[in-house]
Amino acid sequence: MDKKTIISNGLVALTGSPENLPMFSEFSEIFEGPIYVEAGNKLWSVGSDEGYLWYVQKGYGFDRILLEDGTKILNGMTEPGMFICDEKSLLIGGNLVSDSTLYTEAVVYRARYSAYRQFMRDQEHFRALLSSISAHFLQLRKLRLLKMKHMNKADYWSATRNRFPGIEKFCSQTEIAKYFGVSKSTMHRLMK
Amino acid sequence: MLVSGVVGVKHVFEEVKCLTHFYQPGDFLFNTEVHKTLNIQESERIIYDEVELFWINYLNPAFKRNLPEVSIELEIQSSLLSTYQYQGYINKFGIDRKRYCEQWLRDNPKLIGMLSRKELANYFGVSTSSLQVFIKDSLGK
Repeated sequence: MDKKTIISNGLVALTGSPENLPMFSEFSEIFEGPIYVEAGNKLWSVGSDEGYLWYVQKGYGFDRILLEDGTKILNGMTEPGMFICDEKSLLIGGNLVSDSTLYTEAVVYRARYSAYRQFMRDQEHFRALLSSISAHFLQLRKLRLLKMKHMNKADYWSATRNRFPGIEKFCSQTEIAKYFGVSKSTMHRLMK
Repeated sequence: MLVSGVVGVKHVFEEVKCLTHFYQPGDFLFNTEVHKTLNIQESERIIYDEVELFWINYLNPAFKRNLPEVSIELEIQSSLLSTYQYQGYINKFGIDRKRYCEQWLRDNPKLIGMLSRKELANYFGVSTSSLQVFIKDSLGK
């Protein structure tokens, strides 16, 4: 499959669109790739001044965000079919404040922030769709927050381990504890 | 944008209504949070203290016609910011829940009076006995 088909299919899945719309193909044109990444490499790093929106065709990883107080915490997982980026810099500019590391071989595509913004400015219909895409991501964030606060932690850990087998090899117990919003000792007990 | 008052946000999770965050003066509220077709968690906003808001419909045809560039930028930015805000709520709880909750109790004496102990425990995602410990440690009560 070519770049257009791969990224367009990703958008169809993300938006629930019944068909592959021409604007999906146009959006895929702003991406460069495929880029092949070996396991253990980073897609982006804290402090970099080059921001990209990434589409992941293949590969798994994690991103970690550097907070204003200097704490670095696990932010999210990278999975096939996802669009990912350093959100803060895309939103307000400035250097990147997160890292993204891939732990398996990966195939990705990338678009410069400037190309993304120009595309959004030019494409009224895609902007309307962006609101639905954001609402979709927002549901995922809500769910993460709700799980963190209210889900039985043993069940949450089991579901996370199933989603990303080997997570404990790539992330420290402290990082996983913060991701779950529990103390390190509670996490240690859950992981036994 | 909220000018005064307090708005809480509740969602349905595992058949229970759960309070996740509050909007206080200076905070932005976006419609994507309660998107009419994608609101899977049945999120709703509850006014805890009488509110005053500034609001803008940047998709209104007259607004788009008069300030086209501003309308476009607001449309792009609001989509991004509505999602990014939730990451902030997640981070606050993830770093150190006990410390965050105790600081929140010290910073929000008026709001504590508006919430039942059950709601407060629900907001912190802890048991009522853990809430008692947080209150004792932060407020000495």
